[in-house]
Amino acid sequence: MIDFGKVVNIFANNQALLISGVISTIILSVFGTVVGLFLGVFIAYGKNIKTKPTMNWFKRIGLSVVRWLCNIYSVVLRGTPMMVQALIFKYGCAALGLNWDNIRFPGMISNVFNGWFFAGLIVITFNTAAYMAEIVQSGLNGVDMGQVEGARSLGMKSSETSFFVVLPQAIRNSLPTIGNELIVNIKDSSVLNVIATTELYYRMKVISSASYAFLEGYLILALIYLVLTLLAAGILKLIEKKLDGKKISLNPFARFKRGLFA
Amino acid sequence: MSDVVLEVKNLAKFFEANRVLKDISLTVNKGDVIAIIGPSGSGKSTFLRCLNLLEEPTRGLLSFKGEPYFNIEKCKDDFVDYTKYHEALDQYDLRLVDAEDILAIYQNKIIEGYKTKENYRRVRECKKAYKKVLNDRPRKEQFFDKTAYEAFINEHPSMAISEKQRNTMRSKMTMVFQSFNLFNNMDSLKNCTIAQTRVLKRSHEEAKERAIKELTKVNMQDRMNYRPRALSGGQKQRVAIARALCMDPEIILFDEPTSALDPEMVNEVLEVMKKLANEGRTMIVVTHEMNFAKNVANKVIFMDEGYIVESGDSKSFFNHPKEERTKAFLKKANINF
Repeated sequence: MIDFGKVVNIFANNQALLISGVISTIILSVFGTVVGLFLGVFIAYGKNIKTKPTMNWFKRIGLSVVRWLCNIYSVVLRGTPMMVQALIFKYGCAALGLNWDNIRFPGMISNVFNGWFFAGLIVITFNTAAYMAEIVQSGLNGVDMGQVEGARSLGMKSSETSFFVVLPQAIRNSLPTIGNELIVNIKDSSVLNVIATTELYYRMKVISSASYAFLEGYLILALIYLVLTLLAAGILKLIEKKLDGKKISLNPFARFKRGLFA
Repeated sequence: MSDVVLEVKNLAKFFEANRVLKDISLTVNKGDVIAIIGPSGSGKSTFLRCLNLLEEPTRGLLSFKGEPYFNIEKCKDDFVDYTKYHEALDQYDLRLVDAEDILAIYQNKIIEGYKTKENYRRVRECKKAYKKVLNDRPRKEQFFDKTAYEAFINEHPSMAISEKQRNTMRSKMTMVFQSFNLFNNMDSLKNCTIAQTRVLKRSHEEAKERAIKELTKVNMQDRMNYRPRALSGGQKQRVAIARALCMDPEIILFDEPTSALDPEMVNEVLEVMKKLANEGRTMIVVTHEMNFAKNVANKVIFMDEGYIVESGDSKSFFNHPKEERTKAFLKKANINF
């Protein structure tokens, strides 16, 4: 059923394409998640804005508009598929006279970094930001009010309080969900092939249809995605430990050793 | 030598209709250890939180070393004509009862079996009338004398300091909480240094040195690199005290520091507090520890229902209470004495 000759062939003849595909998928998902988290924090604060009746009407209306915009952003971007968003982005840019195809770099580097890659990067980042806003907002609301009071009672400003006390705890508490988002992004970046973003799935599609090795190709693809997501999960565990102030070890046998001798 | 550090005059705090603090006046001299006792819900904690403006008082005068930092002589509530308001409320209650009665008459008819169209129509009409009465409920704003209030505000502008001044104010009156409120994302040492570097603009080395000094004072020097969740309740509270001490506060406010601890831990925290009292620090302690109030504090205040019922120096307060309410409270509390 599975032709191992074809499997060997795929690896032997298309290393450059596969490696560039893996690299661009990693960059897409990691950059999308990190920058999306960064944007999401701002949107989460925007969603959390509360107006007081003591404010003057000008400030009140301004803040309400900001809150509404943030809410609309997260509702719309979470309520539509990323594939559709990507297509809208592509044709929207075309309508404005911007063709991402024109952006090219000379040499091997264009295997990873080309116009459509950047288009994909923008789409995945803004899509992730909407999810991150929701995650960070629930994290912010989950932090105990006592933490804020403790900081304020020492004379810290509200900006200092949120930056040094509330936000780190909110991020730490929602880190499992943020990591989940990274894993989802690794897999879901494949839908960006509709705008010809040269990520892993796009590369394997080309390779397998050129060599008529469909089953083999996609099995290998599944395996690569699995390895990537497992790696991502492992790294996230380490980050969680680090944020908890525990010692981390990169030696995979460290735990085993500790179990034996301690 | 009695330098007044903190002066409170006619302090009041209302949460909507709930009047937590009604009229409180107090002077705190340098070196005073003031214990505030009283039943739960008497406004002790709210009073403490009003002092460093964690809770905005409704009216009153607060001054620190002679400089007022909060001053509102009269609030909106003082310009509400309460006699008229209560009269209107009484009349309204009568109307409401009438409307309810008429509604009940027709509803009962239906329940008894007279299920005619006419009766259903009447019930609908009565419900409408009842809802109308509900909407007419007299509100305080109707009896609020806006012109008088604005005239008063123009003559006596209310004084509240800016956010920046508030923060420096708070750093001089640090607070220790019942639920510790240590920063969970930092170890004990960082907990003590963060506010120093941010608020007092100390250098990192200086802040660290100071933090180690204060942590040693509360006997927590061997747990400096532990996060709050790895500490016991008493240890957490001692770190919280060290954190407050690092800011060089003029007054330390303790909000029931031992209420969340078991008896063994209570003692280790009280030891630290005794030490501070002997050093001559000014402290205001809301507490349920009668022993502490009796032996360590030099002034005791008994609060109930938003008023200071009785205050005096600790010996005479516990030995010869004057007010009946105080006697009743002490009788219930002093079973162990």
